[in-house]
Amino acid sequence: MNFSFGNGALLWGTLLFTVPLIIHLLNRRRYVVVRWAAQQFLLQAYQQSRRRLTLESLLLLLLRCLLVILLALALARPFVPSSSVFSLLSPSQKSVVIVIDTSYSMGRTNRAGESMIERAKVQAKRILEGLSEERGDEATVVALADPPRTIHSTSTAIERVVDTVDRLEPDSAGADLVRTLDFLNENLLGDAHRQVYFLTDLQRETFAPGGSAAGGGDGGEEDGDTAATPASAWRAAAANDVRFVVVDVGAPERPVNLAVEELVSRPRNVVAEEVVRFSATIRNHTDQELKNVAGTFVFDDEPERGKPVVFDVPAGGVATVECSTKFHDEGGGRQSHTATFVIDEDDLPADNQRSLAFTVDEAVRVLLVDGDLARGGGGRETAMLADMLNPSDDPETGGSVFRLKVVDDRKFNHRAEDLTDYDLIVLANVARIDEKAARELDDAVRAGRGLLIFLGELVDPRSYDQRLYDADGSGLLPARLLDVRGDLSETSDVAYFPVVADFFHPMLRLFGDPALQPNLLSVPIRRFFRTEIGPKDRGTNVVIALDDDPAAPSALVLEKPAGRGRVVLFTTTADDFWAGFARDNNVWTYLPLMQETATYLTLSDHSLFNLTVGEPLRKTTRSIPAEIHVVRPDNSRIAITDTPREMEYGEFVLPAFVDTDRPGIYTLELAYPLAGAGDDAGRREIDRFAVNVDVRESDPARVEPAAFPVLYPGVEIEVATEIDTEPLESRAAREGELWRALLWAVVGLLTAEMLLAWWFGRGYRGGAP
Amino acid sequence: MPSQTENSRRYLDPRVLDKLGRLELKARQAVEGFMAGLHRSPHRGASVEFAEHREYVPGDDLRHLDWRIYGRSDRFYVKRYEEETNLTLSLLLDVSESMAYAGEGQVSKFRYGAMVAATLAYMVLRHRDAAALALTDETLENWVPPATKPSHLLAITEAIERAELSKKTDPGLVLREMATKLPPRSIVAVVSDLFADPDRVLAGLRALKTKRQDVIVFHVLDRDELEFPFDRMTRFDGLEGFDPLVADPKALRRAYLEVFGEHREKLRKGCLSHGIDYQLLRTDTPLDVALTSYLSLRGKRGTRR
Repeated sequence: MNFSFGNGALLWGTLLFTVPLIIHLLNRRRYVVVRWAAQQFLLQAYQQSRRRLTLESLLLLLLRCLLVILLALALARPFVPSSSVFSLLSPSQKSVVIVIDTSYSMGRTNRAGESMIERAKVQAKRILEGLSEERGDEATVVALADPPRTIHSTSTAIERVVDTVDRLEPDSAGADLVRTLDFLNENLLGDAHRQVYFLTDLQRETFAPGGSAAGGGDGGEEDGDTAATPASAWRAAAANDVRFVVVDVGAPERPVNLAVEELVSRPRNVVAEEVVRFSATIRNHTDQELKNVAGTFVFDDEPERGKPVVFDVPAGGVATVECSTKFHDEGGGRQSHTATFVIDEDDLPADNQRSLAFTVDEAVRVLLVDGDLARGGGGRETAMLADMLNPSDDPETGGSVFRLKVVDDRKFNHRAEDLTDYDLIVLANVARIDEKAARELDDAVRAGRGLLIFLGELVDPRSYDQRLYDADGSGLLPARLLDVRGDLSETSDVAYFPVVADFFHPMLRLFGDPALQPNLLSVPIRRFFRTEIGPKDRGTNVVIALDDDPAAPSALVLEKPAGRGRVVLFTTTADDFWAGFARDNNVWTYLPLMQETATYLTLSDHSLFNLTVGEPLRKTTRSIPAEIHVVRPDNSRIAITDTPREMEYGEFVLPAFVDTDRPGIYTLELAYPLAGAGDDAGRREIDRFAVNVDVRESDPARVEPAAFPVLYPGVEIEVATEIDTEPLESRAAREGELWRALLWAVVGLLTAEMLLAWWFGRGYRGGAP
Repeated sequence: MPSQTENSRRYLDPRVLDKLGRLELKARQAVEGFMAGLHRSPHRGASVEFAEHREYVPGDDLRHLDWRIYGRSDRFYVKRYEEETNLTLSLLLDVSESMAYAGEGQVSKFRYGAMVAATLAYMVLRHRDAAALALTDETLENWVPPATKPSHLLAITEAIERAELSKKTDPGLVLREMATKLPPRSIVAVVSDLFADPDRVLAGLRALKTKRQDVIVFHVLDRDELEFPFDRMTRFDGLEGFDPLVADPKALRRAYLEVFGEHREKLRKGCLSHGIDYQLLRTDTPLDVALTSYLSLRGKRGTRR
């Protein structure tokens, strides 16, 4: 049984037990002398009660010695290990989980210049100070983050946990309360008696219901099964008999915070030697207008190319600033570039900049396969479409980014064109597709090209279904083609009209303006192919439907991702034969629809290069690079040595680089070997990635703790603004040590001693008999 | 050596005597009662006061024949006279060493007892009765025989003054010896702390009583002996040759009071069962209060008798 002592030196005090002994012995020598007459009675009384008297005095002596020993022991503050039977005297060890909000809003400073994360660290250390290593207390530190993670696994080495907390920095990501609670629930809350402290700024985005979807970007759709709300997650976690304490380390005052919410290029496909405009949107999260805010556009991370701007932002509103530039063709094909917009420092620095990564090519190459061309259609099938993609060569507005080539379907089926030379392939009223052409098309799309298919009277649906569709969902066609519906006779005025469920689709981006929506919805579609979306066509999405049957509307435009590429299917014609798009009066509908569709299909790389903090860098190559390096925003250069993985369509997926915890520009440098790399032999390739923070985290709006019972009904959550060191310490001391029990024993003994002494000598105070 | 008058004064506290004197004036009845009690004796003898007549029987002293009755009635009647007794008060003062004990601020039991003895002797002599004194150490050596002269008080106080408190006494033995020595029908006042075997003491007292003595026991005790108020560690050095004892008095008190209480109770009951007056005298009680209360009590009892 191992005791340890807080003040071991005081153990010498136990030797003081000799003091009552000495007093007792001295007392026997220190007496008054009385010449006593009634000695015979006294002697008789003494004879009668000698045994009792000896016992009584020994008992009192023992009590007094014990008193001194216990008092000295108590002062020495003994601990007992949890395994000892004495631990029954002290409550069992404590198990504490500290959940620290590490979202980037915690990097915000308050008026006193103190950051929220620093405040959280102070509180965390106070909690840890209240624990005792001797008692076997354990602590776990978890990040309330997106995704949640363990900062320090469960440990009884409290000192080390403190060190870890000391080094903690805020992430550049947001926080996901639901996932964090699930994480706690799955990993930590199995044992009872856990106390879970949340140290957080109580940002509404994190704590309010609906504010806990996964991080930004397209990845959000992937965790569609998280129907859980914060309330249900709290309830699930609370089922573990856990005590929740939310420590509010946030500042009540509204901070000065500007956030760069968006940075886009116009056009979005950037081509060399053409003017491109960059547009940044800045939101003012303050309740006052901010004037003369300075910002800078920086290109390719080269400060000397910076372009300063000054602007005003209304309270709670947004400002949009623009900047035009040109990128030059440096040869060697597609180049990777970046643009960054930075504003001045404010209370929350993490959202003060936003970057955009894009590729600059000499043009976006589009292959138009006209199914009617070889039949003497004169290119009628695609002429209108070509006009829409390349409307003018007016230098004022900038030339079109699309460089078009029109071929007939025979050339396509004979594979006269190398599809990899193009960014977008358009099939317009192509009758049938040969097997080899179909295979080549499949590879090209999966390697990142866009495929836009228009149908028409020449199309043989069986060929399409055979070559491009697969019931297992692996084909390029978003849906199986059935039959043609609609009447083209002169006497018939039957037409169907588009129905749009989601105007936020990128293809319909410009129709987000309600004034333009009627134009789209009033385009008559007189004929179309009916389609059938199979149960395994999971990626298929109907972008525009038709009003033919309200119960089961047919699709007009469908899309489907395929590999790194994407396929869009129009179930009608590209010209005005079946559809009204290509009519003169609809040109202002057709033009933006085609521009955006082509951009959508050729910008498949965009989401690869523009990431949210924490998302991995991914890259696919045609051959295996000899060297792979990633240069992080802090200019650290990291070599990647894992072997790339070969994909079924002949490309290689490089190992994902997951260490994107800071926003900024990440550069991927590839060096191909001189031998065995085909066209890439000896080539060096540079890809730039923009990693940005999730702007939802920028909103400093808070959830007030008083709202917890409403937000999370049925869950008991204690709220504190400070960890009270004193009570915690004293509680820890009380729970971990024996001195309290010892002092109680001392008090008990003292009482017993006094009572016994009174009892033994009660004859005296009792008065004369 | 103090003079005789000094000795008398020492044991006759003027205040006490004054109190008793005033008592005689103020409460004459009580004192008279006491004295009457003292005198109450059926002993008849030669006396100046006529009591009764009875028929002559041969052997009667002819001097007591009432010739006038003979002349009238030819019968011989003898005159009987109330005996004018000279009462004898025999004082037995304990001079054992234990009587030397004096509690803090108190007179010793011996001195207190001596004052009791002297005061009683004074009162008796003032009534022209006889007083005798015996100092009861081992043997009955210091014996002041009865006398009625007022100057006899000096002899008594001198004897007290001369007394040496001896180591040990055996009251039982002394009392039995006294019984043989004292004139019959006297009053015997025993002034002692009676620290002895109660059975032997009671046997001695009974011996006195069988000689038709009127026996009064003045049990003189110190407050300390009755209450045992010590609270510090104490070494009790026993008088009369008892071993010393170091003890915590608080712890011993209960047992002591029990033992001592038993002893006193045995004596008191023993006295009362043999018609012996028992009076406890605490040395912290003023002598006048103690004596007058006893005397008035006895006086009442005497008149009732």
